[in-house]
Amino acid sequence: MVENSSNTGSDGERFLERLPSELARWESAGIITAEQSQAIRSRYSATDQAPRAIQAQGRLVTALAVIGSVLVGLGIILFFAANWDGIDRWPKLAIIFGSILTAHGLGYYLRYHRGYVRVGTGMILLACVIYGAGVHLVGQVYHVDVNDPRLMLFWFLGVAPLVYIVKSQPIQFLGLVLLLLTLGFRLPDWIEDVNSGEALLGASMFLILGLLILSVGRIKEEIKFLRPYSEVFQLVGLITALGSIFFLTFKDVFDSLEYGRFTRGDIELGYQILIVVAGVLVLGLVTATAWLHRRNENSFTLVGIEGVAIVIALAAAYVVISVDSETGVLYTAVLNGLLAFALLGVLVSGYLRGREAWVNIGLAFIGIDITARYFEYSWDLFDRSLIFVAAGVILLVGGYLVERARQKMVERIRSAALISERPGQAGRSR
Amino acid sequence: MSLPLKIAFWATVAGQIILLLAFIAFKEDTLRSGTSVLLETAPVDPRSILQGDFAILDYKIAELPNWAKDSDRGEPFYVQLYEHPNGVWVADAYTREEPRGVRVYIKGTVNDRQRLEFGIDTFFIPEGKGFIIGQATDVKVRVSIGSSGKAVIDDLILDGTPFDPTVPPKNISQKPPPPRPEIETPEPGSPPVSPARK
Repeated sequence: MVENSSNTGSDGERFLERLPSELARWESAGIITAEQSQAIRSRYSATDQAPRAIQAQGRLVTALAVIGSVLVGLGIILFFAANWDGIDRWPKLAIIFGSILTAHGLGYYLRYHRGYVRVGTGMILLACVIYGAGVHLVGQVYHVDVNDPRLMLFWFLGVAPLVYIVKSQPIQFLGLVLLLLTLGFRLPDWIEDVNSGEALLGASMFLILGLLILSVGRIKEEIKFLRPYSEVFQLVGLITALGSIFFLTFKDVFDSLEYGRFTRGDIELGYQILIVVAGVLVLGLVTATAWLHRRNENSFTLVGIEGVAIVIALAAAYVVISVDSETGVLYTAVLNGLLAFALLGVLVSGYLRGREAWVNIGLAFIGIDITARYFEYSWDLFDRSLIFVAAGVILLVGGYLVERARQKMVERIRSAALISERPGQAGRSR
Repeated sequence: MSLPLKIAFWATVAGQIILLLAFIAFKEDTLRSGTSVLLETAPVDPRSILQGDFAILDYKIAELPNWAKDSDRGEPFYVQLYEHPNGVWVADAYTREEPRGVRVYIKGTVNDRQRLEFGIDTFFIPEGKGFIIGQATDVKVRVSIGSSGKAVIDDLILDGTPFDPTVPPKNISQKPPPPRPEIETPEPGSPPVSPARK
C-alpha cells in the first residue's frame, strides 16, 4: 500500500513509534552495528518522528472515527429494526445493499484518494458493521433463528479478507472477534449431545483459540510484511487465553458437573478436528518462532520461555477436555496456579519487550482476579454489608497499588526506549 | 494502493453482496419452488413472546412418537407429511433416514426438550405486537418445504387470517383488558392484613 513506503499515515506513524526499539533489537541481535543504527536514526529527521502529543492526537482521531462508525452502525440497525415492518421486502434489501456499497465507496475514497486514512478506515469499518447488520436483517426477513451459526459465519467471511487488504487495527479486531463469535455460535451444535461440562469444553476451546491467535501474532512480528498484522492478533489472543483460564479457575464451574464427574455423550467431529488442528498449529508456530531467534541467545531464551508457557496452557486445555476427575478441587487449584504464573509471565514479558499494553492487560487481570476470588470465598462466610465495605477498601487499596506498579513499569519501559535511542547504548537496557 | 489490492478490496465488497444475494436466493427459491403446507403450531409460552421481537413456535408435528422418545439431542429426524381434509398438514411417519419416493417431508433435529426443531421455530414480529399472537386462539404457519426437507416460513395465520400487525384478529376484542384488582385475595388460613400495616 502507498502509505507503507512513507512516514505518513497510520502505518508510517506506527513504524516511527517502533523504530527505536526495533533498532535496539537489531543491534543486540548483531544484525546491525551501533553506527548503522545511528545512521538509520538520522535518516528519519526530527520532524518525521512524531512527538507524543501528535501521536496521541492521531489515536484520538482513530478513536473518534471508530466510535463514530459504531454509533452510526448502531443507529442504522435501530432504524431498520424500528421501521422494518413499514418497508416492503425488496426496498429493505435495496437499502441494505445501498448502505454497504456507499459506506465502502466513501471509505475507499477517503482513505486511498484523499489521504484521510483514519476517517476512511472508520467508514470501511462502518461498512463491515452494516454488512453484518444486513446479514442479520436478511435472516429476519426470512425468519431465520437468531442463534443460527450461519449468520455469524457469513459476517465473518465477508470481513475476513479486509483484515489483510486494509491494514487497519480496528478491522483486524473486528475480524478476530467475528472469528471467535462464529465458533462460539457453532459450539452448542458441536456439543449438544454432551450432558454436563459444556462450559468446560467451551472455555477450553476458547483457550486453545486464544493461544493460536497469540502464536499467529507472535510469528507475524518476525516476518516483515506481516508485522502490521501482529499487534492486534497478540492482544486479542492474549486476552482470550487469559479470560478462558480465568473462567476455569472458578470452583463452581467444576462443581456443576454431576457428582464431580463428566457425563458426556459424543462430542461432534467438528469440535475434535478444530481443537486438534489448532493445537498442532500452536505447537508448530511456537517452534517456528523460537527457530527464527536461534542465532541470538538472549532473545531465543525469552521466546523459548514464552513458548513453553504457551505449551503449558495448551496442555491444560487438553487435560480439562479429556481427563475425567472425581473432584473439581484439583482442577481449580492447578488452574489458579496456572493463571498466577501466566499473569506473572505476561508482566515480565511485557516489561522485557517494552510493551505497555501487555503490562496493562496483566495488571488488569490481576485486579479482576483478586476481586473475583474475594467474592467467591467470602460470600458465604461473612455478613453482606461487611463484604461490600471490605470489597470497596480492597478495590481502593488494590487500585492504588496496581496503578503505582503500572506507572513504575511503564516509566521503566519508556526510559529504556529513550536510552536505546542514544548511540552506543542501545540494547543495554534489555 | 497497488492494483492487486484494489482488485482484492472491490472483490471482497462484491463478495459481501454476492453472499447476501446467495442467502436471499436460497430462501426465495424454497419459497417459490417448495411445497406450500399449513402446519398447526402454538407459541411455546404466551408470555415469552413479549420478551423481544420474535415468537417461538412449537409445531404439533414436533412431538416425537413414543418409540423415539429417548433420542439423543441433535439427532436428525424426517417427518413425512400428508394433507388433512381441513387443509392442515399432519405427520404421517417419523424416520431417522431421509425418505425416498415421498413427496413432502420436513427435516428436524431433537432439542433438549425431546421435541423436534425444524429451523422455522422463530417468527419475527414488530415491536410491541406480540399480544396479537398471544391472544389468537388458532395459530398456524404457512411454510414452503424444499426437496431436501428444508423449510422456510411464508406466513403466520392467526384465526384463519394472515398475520397483519396493524389489524388484530377478528375474534379479539379491541378493548384493553380490565385492570387487575389492587387488593390481593388472602390465601386460606393466612392472617388478615390490617389496613394500618399496608
